[in-house]
Amino acid sequence: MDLITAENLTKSYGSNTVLNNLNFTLPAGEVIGLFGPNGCGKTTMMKILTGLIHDYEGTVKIKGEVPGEKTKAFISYLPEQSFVHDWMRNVDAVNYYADFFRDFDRERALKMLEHFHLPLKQKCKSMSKGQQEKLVLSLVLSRRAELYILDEPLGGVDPAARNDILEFIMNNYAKEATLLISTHLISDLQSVFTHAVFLGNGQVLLNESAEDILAEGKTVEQRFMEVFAHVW
Amino acid sequence: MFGKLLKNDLKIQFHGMYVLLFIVLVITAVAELAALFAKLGNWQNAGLIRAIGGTLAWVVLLFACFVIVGAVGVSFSKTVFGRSGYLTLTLPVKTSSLVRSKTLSGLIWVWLVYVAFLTSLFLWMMEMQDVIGEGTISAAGGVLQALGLPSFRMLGYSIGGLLVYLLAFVFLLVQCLYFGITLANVRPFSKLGGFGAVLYFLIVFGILTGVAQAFGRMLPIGFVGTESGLVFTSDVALSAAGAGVVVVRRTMDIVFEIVFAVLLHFPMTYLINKKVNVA
Repeated sequence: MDLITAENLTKSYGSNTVLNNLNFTLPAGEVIGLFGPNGCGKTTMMKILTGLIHDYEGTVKIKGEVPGEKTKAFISYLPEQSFVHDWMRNVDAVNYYADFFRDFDRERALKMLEHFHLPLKQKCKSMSKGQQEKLVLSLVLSRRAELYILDEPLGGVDPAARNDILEFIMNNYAKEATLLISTHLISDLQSVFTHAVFLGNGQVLLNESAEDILAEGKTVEQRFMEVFAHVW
Repeated sequence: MFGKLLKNDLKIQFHGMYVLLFIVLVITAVAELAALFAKLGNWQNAGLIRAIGGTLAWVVLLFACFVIVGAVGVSFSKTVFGRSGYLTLTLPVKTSSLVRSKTLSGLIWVWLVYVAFLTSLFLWMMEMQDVIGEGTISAAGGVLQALGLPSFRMLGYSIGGLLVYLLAFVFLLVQCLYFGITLANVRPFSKLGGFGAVLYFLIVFGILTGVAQAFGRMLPIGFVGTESGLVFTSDVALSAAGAGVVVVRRTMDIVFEIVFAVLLHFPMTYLINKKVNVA
């Protein structure tokens, strides 16, 4: 079953067309990797899906709904940068999420904070970038969402901690949900994806299940190198 | 859900301005208390201390009236268009609810500071009339006469009218501020950056308050206050010339300010919904 459908999706910033007449569907219940070089439109696509960008052409539907109030209720989004107010303590951030998201599991969030050794009363502005990322990741994964959209979740994490964070994500997202992760760190993540989307030159260059890619006798990374060798 | 939005917006805005509010509160309290103790203790140079104390209090609050507008604007900008916008704009609520909540919370903070300023100004005038202490009630009459108000009843009408007028004024002020900031985040208006936000705010606010006053003069209905009570009249200028009329308040200025403030909500919501991209 398809969860996301895009038809003739085009998004430009001035004269720079980032997404050019895309047509694609993405399946439900999969771990989907969104790959592509920097500036290829991964973040733009994620912002469209989360309802943060509206001035695009074409149609996008998630579970048959245009991104908006209804879809925001079942999408849990992790942006590239921390969005928590500096003055908030960890417990304030948890309370904020509990106020607005019905699918937020407060107990789960508190356990995750404990797992990351983040004291409830610690203020965000006194936390390192890595700690802030862990806080936001805990908030996002504490929702029992139907679709998780994670934009470069390992981007700011040092190589030593990447495996831990990845394991944490895979152990804590709602298993029946769909996980859409953008990254350029294919080698670190290729073992967890069940579906891959390659984005480049404003186009979807590949949209295949990981099983099909492996059946060709290639890894996702090898396929990525193959596709982008022709593009860039 | 709106209640939760408002609660969190009040909290977020408070955290953006509590240092300012604390400093203002301390200076004002010290100034007013110094004036009071100088009077009660019959200190040497008591008159000078009271004059300086009272003046300092309202000057600080006047300063706060400007700064609070900036603080509310910065808070709006950060929480909608800054990195916190990723959280604000992915909440499962309508954009119009978000805007309404931020407007109401901004209005509450700005209005409270404006009321505090007017209160300090009134206290200062009483200080100047030497009415703090035992002779307050009897001497207050002198203050009222100085204000052109012959009785406490008139004072009530005047203050009541002023607070309502202030509410409408602040409502329009906050909406214009938010609209200016929103416009400054939409291409091609975004080219001017933060300066653009201030510029658009001043232009829109200037035009709308000017138009509201012009309409108010064209439709001069309103209230006039006399000793026998408030009277609604179709021409306040004409009625103001009557005997015993002290308080005069045109109504349509206020009505148009409120109408303009409400109308600004729609293009602002549209722009946030359709044109703004969170950076």
